[in-house]
Amino acid sequence: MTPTEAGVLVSEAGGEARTRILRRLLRDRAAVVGLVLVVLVAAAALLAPVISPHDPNAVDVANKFAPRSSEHLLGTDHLGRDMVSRLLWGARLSVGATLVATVGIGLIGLVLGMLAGWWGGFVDGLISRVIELMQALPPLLLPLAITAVLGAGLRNVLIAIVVSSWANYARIVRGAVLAERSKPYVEAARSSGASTGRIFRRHLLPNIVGPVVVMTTLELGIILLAISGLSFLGLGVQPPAAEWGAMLSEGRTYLSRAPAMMVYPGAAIFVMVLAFNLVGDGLRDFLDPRSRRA
Amino acid sequence: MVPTLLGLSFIAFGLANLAPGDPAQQYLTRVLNQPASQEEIERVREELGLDRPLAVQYVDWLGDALRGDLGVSYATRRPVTTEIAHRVPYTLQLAIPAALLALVIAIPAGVVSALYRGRLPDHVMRVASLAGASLPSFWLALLLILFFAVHLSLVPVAGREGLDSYLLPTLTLALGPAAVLARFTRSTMLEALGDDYVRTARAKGLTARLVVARHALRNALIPVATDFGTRLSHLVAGAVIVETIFVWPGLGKLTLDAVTERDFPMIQGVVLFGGLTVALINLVVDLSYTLIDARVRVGTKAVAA
Repeated sequence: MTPTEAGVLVSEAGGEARTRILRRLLRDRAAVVGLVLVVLVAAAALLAPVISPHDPNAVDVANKFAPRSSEHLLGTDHLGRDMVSRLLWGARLSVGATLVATVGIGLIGLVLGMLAGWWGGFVDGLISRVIELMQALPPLLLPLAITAVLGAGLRNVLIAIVVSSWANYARIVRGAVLAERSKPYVEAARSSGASTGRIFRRHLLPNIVGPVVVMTTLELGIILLAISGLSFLGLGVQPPAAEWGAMLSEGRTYLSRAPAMMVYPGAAIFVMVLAFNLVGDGLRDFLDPRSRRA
Repeated sequence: MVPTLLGLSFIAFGLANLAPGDPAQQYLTRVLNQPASQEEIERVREELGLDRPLAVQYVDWLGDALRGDLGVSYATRRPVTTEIAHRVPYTLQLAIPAALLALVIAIPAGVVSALYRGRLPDHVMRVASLAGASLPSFWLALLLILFFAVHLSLVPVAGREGLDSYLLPTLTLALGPAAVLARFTRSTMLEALGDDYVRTARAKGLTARLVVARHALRNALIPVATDFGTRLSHLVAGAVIVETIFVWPGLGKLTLDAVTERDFPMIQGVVLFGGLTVALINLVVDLSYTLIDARVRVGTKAVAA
């Protein structure tokens, strides 16, 4: 068999595995609900400029606290801005920022986890100590402290969250690499002269992809909560920008007068986090055999 | 634990030194509340030892920290240690009831769910716990305020007056940990129910209730205890969002105030205190294993792992 044939066979097997995973995921009703919600919010975020009925920042004070109507499907806020448009644009900012942060966390966690698991020794010792240290800090404490150093704002909050949240990721990847590296197939690849880089790409990465995908999906919810939480506290996205956490913070001021201003953005965050968790749970059931839901 | 605490001190010390701006000038403008002349800045820099190499400053700072001296808050001009000690009781007044409430909800829910696996109580519990784990605490707090304080006027909106002001913050704090612990109890319980010793106990003719209570539950709770310890330590370190919403004078509120005012000595203090709390509670949980897990007590740790 030539290398190209082998490659085709491998990728076909990969394609089959993907269809099988998709088919099993579709049988899990809860995961399907989650998947549909994720797709809907993603579509809303992408299409916000097209489907928003109004400019999300267009102030119309004469029309403030307007009730639900055909013109404003969910009414308007304290500045007369259209709630539906703000929620749609908010999806763009909230979910977009979550994706950016999660990619950053994933990359750092993947690289450091692989380094620690593969090389062992001093490198592993050092990275593992730092992981332990990061995990000994209560959630939000380090992001808050870093935000104090850098100042408020979306970019700084993203940096603060990425710097403080990669440890769990690195720990999982390190464990998975440690479990894989001593297996015969890695030994075989190495003795047949494969370079370390090739072993990583062709052998280790495909074998740890399961736990990493599960972890990433569940992480999305945690990160969304962190970003909107920091924005709610006034440290992240600043008003008047339409972001769910910042909107909720504005809504808090008008709690008794216009509860809708608080209810809708909070519901948006809740539904999105729930969707990520539903999908993550469904994926875990068959991608990560160690934590299989019994 | 020692490397963790040492690393913690690096982070705390580093935070204040990474901050932009001249610390001497900051100290002058914040503590003396007046614009500083160049001479004064030089004098303070020398006085505070800020002209020495960072390594020397760090060793000095660490020595003071070990003796309980974390400097003076820029905002209140009182010692950081005093401020933190003053806030701890308020945080504990929420953290302990919330942690207990979480346990009281989570363990029965998890056990029932495992015993009725795949049937209605199990489905209800799983939906409820997933929803509970996905609820943003800031939204939950506002919904509870809207319903119980604004509409029904049963409890105060915020503040700390009378027993009923404890209800909403405690409930908000308990729900997240309760949801996660319930899921965890369910899975460890299912695992325990499938184990050999449970089968043996059943085969010996013990009643189902006795098997669950004496054998399965006891072993299922061991991993739950670790998770509970972590969650308790996070509550004790201060719930920033919940304390802020309910205007509760605890560590969480102190932390947010320090962050918004860029009060670096105070930020160093809360970071050190938070890390220390987590480390100590983890240590206590590890030690308590000898009480609840016979395998550790006999010293065959390999079996337990």
